[in-house]
Amino acid sequence: MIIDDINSHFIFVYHPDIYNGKAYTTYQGRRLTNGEVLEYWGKWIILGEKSWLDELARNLDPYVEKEQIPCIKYDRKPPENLELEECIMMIYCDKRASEEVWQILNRHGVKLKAWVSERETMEMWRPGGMLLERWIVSNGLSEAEARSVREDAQSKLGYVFDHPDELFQPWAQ
Amino acid sequence: MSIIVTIPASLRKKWLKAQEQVSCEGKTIGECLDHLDQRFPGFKETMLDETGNIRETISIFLRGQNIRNLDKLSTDVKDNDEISIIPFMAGG
Repeated sequence: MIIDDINSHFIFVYHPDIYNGKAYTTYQGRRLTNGEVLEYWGKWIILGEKSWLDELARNLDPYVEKEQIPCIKYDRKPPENLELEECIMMIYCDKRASEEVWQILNRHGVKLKAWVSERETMEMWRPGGMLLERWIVSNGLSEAEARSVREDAQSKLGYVFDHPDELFQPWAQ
Repeated sequence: MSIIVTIPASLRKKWLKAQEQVSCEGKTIGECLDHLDQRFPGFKETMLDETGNIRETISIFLRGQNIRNLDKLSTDVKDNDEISIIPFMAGG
């Protein structure tokens, strides 16, 4: 199911039961804990024109509905604050299933092969992380706003690192 | 020995134009970048900083794995390997 809300920067591809509470951070039908997400969860990165990613999303949607791909997220337009000229698509999955997912992507024309772990991503979005600090600067936040953003990031992401045995709870993006 | 390098449009700049993939030779990632620099002068400068290390703004992957987690520029490559290069920011 493609979720294309014009008010969101991202377009998502989820299983239709997502609104019935179905979790997507799973492996072999089992929800992952925070520790397992940090150890195993991640994504294949794809860059391209929006029109090509729209087509790719339509082609991959059936795999999400069949639960062969857990979920997908991509930019509605190139992220200007990151100085990128293309949209980014992220194909999320457990690392233990990543090669099977890669084979699906390759069959649908994806050539770039770049795996980024969720641990690495979260570390970049924690206070002091390159992505968070760059986001703060590019959005021209005041010191107070920046402090608030850093506290929020630490609260959300720090929780994941500090509570490895709890089930992972995704947050809205 | 031939290694395939995939580079998105954001990084291709003037050398590669419309080519999404190019082939190169080398026994390590570093040698592959040297080979590409010979074919496309200025390429290496885009990838490496003044100290000869991978720029912070670039991520290089071998068979899907970030070489920062492997042996960096000394990472061995073999025939038919796939190298992918993306802007670091795209990984977030």
